[in-house]
Amino acid sequence: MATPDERLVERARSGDAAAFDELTERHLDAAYGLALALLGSPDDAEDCVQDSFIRALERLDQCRTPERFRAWLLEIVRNRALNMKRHGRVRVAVPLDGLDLASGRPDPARDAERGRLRELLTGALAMLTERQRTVVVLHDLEGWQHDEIAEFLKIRTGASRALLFKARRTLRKVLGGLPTFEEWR
Amino acid sequence: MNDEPVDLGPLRLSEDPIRRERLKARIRAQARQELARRAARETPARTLARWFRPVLVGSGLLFAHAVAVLVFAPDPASRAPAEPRAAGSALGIPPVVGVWLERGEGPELLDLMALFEGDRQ
Repeated sequence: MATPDERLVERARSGDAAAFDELTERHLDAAYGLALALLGSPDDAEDCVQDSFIRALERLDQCRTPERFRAWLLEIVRNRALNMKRHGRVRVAVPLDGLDLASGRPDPARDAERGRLRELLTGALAMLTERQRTVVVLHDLEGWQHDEIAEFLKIRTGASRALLFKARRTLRKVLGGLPTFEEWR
Repeated sequence: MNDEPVDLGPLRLSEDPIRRERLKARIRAQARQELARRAARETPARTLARWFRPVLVGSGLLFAHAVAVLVFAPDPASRAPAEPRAAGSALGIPPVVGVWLERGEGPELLDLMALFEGDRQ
């Protein structure tokens, strides 16, 4: 049985590197997804996640409910992302119309293809409003429910649905002529 | 109206294991110093103190409960006198003796024989 977060937090508080590694492994993807939703750029999301994990480690003694470590960590990610935006420490993603779509055909190297597709999707996300992007990434990529998104963004559930609808419509329009991810594979 | 989700899968960190591992390595490297600081302050006394904390809390609760019982429990002097039969049984006197005392009668010969027979057994 997997060690509960609570126990890992307790061990990490004592400086146990393996326990902190395990916490990172468990919550890295969720933290990254949230950072990406809020910042829109994979590079910024990485910076944000790195800072957030370190900040979480430094403040581990303040984590009053270690069994809810994930929620606590995501709150740190959220604050860190908002801080980065506030201080203009985010890169500006290149919108899709600024990219060379003609070269969007599969490259021979698979990694390069993925990188290219990621770039295209990031460019497409940059064409959304900030809220649309946050909602579509949290819902379609991270699997959050509308009520969770609404609570997180302090908006109504209906507003979250509307934002998702508009975001998907824009993304489809922008990405319409491009091959799907499966085709790229 | 088409409201199908757009496949954003390639943006997932897990889709790119190399990037993911690189990010983990960056976090690990930056965390090393803080983890070392934490490990250094972890003395046996501190470990023991963490162990004792729940015990201390438990003792505190027990103490508070004991004080509450002493303060709020009725005064033993004001309690109703115990039933003679109950008192007798507490002193080890056979219950039948209590019954005779309550009735204010002496025992019959047969009662005494039954009592001594019971003691012998």
